[in-house]
Amino acid sequence: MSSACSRAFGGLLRRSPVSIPTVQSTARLAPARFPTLAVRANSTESAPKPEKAWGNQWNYYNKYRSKQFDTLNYLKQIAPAWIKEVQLFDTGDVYIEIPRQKLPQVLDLLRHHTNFQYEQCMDIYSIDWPEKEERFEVQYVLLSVRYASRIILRLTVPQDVMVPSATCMYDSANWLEREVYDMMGIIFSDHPDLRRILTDYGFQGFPLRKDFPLSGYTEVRYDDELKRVVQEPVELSQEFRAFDFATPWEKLQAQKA
Amino acid sequence: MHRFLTCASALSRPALRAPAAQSMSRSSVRCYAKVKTETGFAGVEVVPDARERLVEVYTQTLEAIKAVPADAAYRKAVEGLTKHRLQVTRTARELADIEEAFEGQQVEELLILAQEELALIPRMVEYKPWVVDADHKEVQIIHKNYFDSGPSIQLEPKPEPEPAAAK
Repeated sequence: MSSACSRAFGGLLRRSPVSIPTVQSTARLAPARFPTLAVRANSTESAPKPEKAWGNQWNYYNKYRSKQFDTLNYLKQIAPAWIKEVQLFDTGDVYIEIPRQKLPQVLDLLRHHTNFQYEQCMDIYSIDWPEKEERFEVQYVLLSVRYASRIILRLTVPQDVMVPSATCMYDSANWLEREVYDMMGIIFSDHPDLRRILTDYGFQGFPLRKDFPLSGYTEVRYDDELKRVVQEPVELSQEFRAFDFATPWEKLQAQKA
Repeated sequence: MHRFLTCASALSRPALRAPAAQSMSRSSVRCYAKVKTETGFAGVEVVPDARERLVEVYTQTLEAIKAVPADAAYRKAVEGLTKHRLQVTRTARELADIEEAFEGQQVEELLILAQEELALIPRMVEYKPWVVDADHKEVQIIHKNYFDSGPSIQLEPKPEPEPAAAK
């Protein structure tokens, strides 16, 4: 039964970052995932030995990080013009910075090339760096189920500049980009339906920007005379409470004195 | 889970292993030719002539990749990959051998991948990511530690606070 389960769904159920093919024929028929390119071409990029925190879990991270390292080398050789910066964490997380205008092309390669197959767009979010010239940074988290690998694409965009939309490649990018637009005000070109998704109807402003206050600008309440909800400038009024921080023993001593 | 129709046929090789056969406990006694009736993936139909179509798509890919310059890593990668898969597809005795050779990926999935790769080639010829300027320096992978990585973007270092006039 376990063999039937493991062969189900194209063998995906036994896919894990440390999976080793168990069929004997694969040892002689299937080459490595990156067969013809010189992997680890540049010797100065050998990964430093990770510190042994977390004990045996480092075995898992070592294998995953080495797989991600091979993927990065492969990507750098295939598409050197598209990569501005690469970060590889010791847990195997990969952050690749790409030029903003090349986003649809990078997604095309990562989705459709057989050695990548990043078919899932898991998340799109943005970060606000107000002190930088290119204020926003948008990150795309892509997942390859076939190779059990995650990759995060980064691109920077100044304010009031449009970003190419990822909806051409991933359907899940539809709502994810709507959320980025609603929270940060980044506009995606060629998006089929770019409108607010989390904020109230008629809400103004972009809440997750750093210059948007924590309390917001307006508050809503139900007005009994007008019999509807009204919006007013924020007050955050509270009932008066007298905070008496003295302990009972201090009060006794003060009375005695 | 592949669904199989079993039909007894006189095969000389005993214990012919077919994938996902729940009835494998009887395989040592008799051998059956198994015909796949479904792939287990929604929307992916069984392709009976998968081998021929795979060979066709792989040869088209090897033709189309010639539009990419020979020194581009993309061409070497696609050629290596496709030639290996073509060789496996041609020399395998059964479709089950192809699926085994590629770690359980079904031939239908291999066909989809091959078609996507073929469709990607003309777009990559248009994008040309292998074309770099003469002064392009190879990007070094920055290794970061998860615990003491700090912000993922290097900001300008804050100016040192002036030493307070004390004493």
